[in-house]
Amino acid sequence: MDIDDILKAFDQETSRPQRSQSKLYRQDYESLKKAWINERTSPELLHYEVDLMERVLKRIRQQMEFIELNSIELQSSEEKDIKLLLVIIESELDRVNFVVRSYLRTRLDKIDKFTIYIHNEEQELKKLSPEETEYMNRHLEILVELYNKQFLSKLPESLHTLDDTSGGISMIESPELSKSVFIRVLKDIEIPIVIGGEEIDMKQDEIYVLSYRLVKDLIQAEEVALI
Amino acid sequence: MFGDTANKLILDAKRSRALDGVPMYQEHDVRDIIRETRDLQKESDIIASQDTNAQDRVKQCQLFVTHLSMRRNKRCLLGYQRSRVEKLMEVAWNGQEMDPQQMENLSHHEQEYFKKYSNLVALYKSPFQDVDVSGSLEPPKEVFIDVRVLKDAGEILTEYGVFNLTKDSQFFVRQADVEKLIQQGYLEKL
Repeated sequence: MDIDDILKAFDQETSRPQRSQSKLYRQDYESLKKAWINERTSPELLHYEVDLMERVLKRIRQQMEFIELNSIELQSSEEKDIKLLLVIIESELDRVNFVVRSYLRTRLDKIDKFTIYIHNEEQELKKLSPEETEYMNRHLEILVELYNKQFLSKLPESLHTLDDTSGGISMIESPELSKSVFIRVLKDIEIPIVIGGEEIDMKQDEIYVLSYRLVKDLIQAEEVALI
Repeated sequence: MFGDTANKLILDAKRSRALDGVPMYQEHDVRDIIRETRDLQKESDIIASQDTNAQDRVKQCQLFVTHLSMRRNKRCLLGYQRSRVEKLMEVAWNGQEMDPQQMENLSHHEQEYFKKYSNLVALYKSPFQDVDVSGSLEPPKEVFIDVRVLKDAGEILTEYGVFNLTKDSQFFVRQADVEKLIQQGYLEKL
């Protein structure tokens, strides 16, 4: 029996009227995990989950308040039942916090890696949250300042830029879209994927290793998920 | 040989990957590379200004190699700097204080960058107060853990009471409460 089961049993016992709501919370947690795994395994930056993150952060706030409120009572009353509940909520909170943290940091890693590429593409910029846009612009600014002051401005003028693509090597690092990824098919795919003249019919629950480029749109449409 | 100094720099970057701290900034080497690159530029200007006909393969090759060497030097400089920046970023995210000796290993502009980047991290973190974005990236397993105190850290106040952290003592505490102290090297997880 793991914590999810205990929580489930707890939900059923105590909060019948709130059941639809707790189902929503559970869904959010599942979507959060999915978003996190997708972000971690895909070679490029994905869209920021605006609404989902807002709901999750709000819920974290509420849970923290619940703990604070009840741990004050804990010291005054002799009630011991609540103690177990608090520990359960705390470990749940720790786990959710970890997923959120890892999700945000994974995104920042990619943003730092592909800064100039993202900066130049309208399409990519839309994927960022306002905070991330701010972070990226400021970081680029101080990085360029550092490079310039350290050595770039002292080099011959033709070598001053950071986004040079001449000389056969592009300086702009872009995501490697042909990287192979593992996917699970979430529902039957109507239009088969074509690889080298061969059609592949993907059925629900099947697992494939494919080039990311081929399943990019399907991931966005939530028809397949990265694993 | 052209590019030798740049090679030295890259080896230094590679070696320092395995180190904990940031090693001394190789200002001397960087200056040498800049000078070399400028000399190469002058040379290529001279070659280009000479009256050459398109058939002169030797000249063309010379020009080509000069340009490649210049670009290579630039890439090496950037790569070296990037590897140092990544280390600085890591320190900034861990919320560690840069100790004075480490600070001396940085060039003046690097110190400046580190200060600015630390502020940027704080700025990015501020809307997510409850999550602590700079926390540990290890998945949590237990709420409470055993820790041993490595350095005196004074008293800390948690929801479960006050702990007096004196060296070599052991405690059973909530992981979230002491996360920062573990990162900063005051406590060790058992």
